[in-house]
Amino acid sequence: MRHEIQLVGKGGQGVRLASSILSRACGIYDGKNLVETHLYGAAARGGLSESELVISGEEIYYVKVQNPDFLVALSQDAYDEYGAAVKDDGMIIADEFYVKNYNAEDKRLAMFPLTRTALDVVGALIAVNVVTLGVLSALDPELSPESVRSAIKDLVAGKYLDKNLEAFDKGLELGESK
Amino acid sequence: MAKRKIISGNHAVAEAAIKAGCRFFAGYPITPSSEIAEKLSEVLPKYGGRFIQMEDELASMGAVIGASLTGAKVLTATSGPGFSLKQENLGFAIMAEIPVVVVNVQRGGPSTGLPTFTSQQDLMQARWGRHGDQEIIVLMPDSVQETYDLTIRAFNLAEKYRTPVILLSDEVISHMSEPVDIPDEVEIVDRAKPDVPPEEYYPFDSSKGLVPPLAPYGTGYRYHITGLNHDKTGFPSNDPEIVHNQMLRKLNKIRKNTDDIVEVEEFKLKGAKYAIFALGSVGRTAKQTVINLRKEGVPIGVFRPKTLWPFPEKEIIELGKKVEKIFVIELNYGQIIGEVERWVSKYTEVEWYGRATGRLIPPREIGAFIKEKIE
Repeated sequence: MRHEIQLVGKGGQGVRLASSILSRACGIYDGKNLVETHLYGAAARGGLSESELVISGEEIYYVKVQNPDFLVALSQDAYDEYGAAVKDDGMIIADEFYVKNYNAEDKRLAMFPLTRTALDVVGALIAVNVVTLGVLSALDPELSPESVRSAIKDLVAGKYLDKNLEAFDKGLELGESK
Repeated sequence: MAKRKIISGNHAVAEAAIKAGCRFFAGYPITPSSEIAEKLSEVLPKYGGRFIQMEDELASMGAVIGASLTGAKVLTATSGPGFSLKQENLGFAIMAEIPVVVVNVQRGGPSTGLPTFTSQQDLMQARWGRHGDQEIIVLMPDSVQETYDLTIRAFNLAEKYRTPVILLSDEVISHMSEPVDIPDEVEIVDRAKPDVPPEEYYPFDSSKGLVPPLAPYGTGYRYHITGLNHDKTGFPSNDPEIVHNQMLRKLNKIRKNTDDIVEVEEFKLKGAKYAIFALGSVGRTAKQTVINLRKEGVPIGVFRPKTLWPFPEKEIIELGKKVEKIFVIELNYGQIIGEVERWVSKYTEVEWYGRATGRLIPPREIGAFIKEKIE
């Protein structure tokens, strides 16, 4: 089955690294087929940053996400621009720090204190991507939290690793509490 | 045992270049090709190679030509505006028959266009971007794995036919990541060396066949290289017969070897009544469209040249004789349609759909277009 995940935020929130971690988790540790693509503008910071993952046990032809099973929205723009395409039975994981205007009756929507948790646990905004991976790993049955953890260990540099794993575990807790 | 890795299309170019024996890169960074240079700047020195960031694309094309003449396998990579700047020296390499591999990662154009977004607007520039009659080899991958494989093939063809080869990627293929199997062993072709001593050597000696051996500079073989028409010694000649014969040899080394050079993918074409003609990243969309349409009972397949130039004339004529309609889908405003029509309009109908907005055209849109045309 084709499974689609879309991660959207602003440049500097670590969207690209988060998607690389997911690719490694699914493609290397879980041995699935996947395609990871990106969309970005010419701005180095602050512009829209979007990553897409298509995961499947079968061959993947079309490389882009069409109707995501999971959308992570780390900014208001991300929610506004990409929310509509999410499947009816899909899920939108939104950061309550940045996403202020939303449809509270949307059954697909789940608000989480992603940035707040990153600040509390690591003391740095940049850890929001790993908190998010924790939440996503807890909620998306296609992902194995252990594989994601292994991929984090591979891709996050030594001195930041412990804090990142802590942030990931906190994210897992947040996700499991839903 | 092949090693499974997840890498981007651009990193696949870099890894494959090393594997193919490339030991020299000169370039000037430009989105969306920059990761090729970035990776090779890190990796090439570890293999005893050289990486040079030149002052611009003109100079970097010149640098790879010079390095190739010393016997090195060479690469340069660029995109859109940079590809335009490389054309003049690329023409020189074609005329002087110097093996080089040029990667052009297509982005939106013309001019600076859409730097971070995809297109397929350089299909004809790759073929005819230089002045003068010439043949050129252009390969187009549709996945990261195929980017790896075709990069190696590009080096092999460049060395075998003593000619520039262009790997024509696009922003989607170059920036996307997929698992690839990195093989332990690949077939490597090295250029033919002279079988005569320096005093008997001629760099453009047609009696040595369509591809005369190229002696590496610095090994005792002294010869002249010029962009002017030349005789077998490499010195300029205006003699009509010499010009004619040398031109024919340069053209025929490609034209008479299309069976070796041309590769196409045929996807679910057996018994198909319709075909989609697609290149590069559009090939992936076309295959998804075919999967979707076949579920609705439409007998359709995909014809995808991996070798864009020389154009797969024989193969597309065969296709034209078999199907009732060919749908040409392009990320541009109508380029390769003309070439397809040139070969098949005698046998079948051709329909065109495309645009270049920086985004891929989704399968459902292509499917809707096709259904409208066959109802």
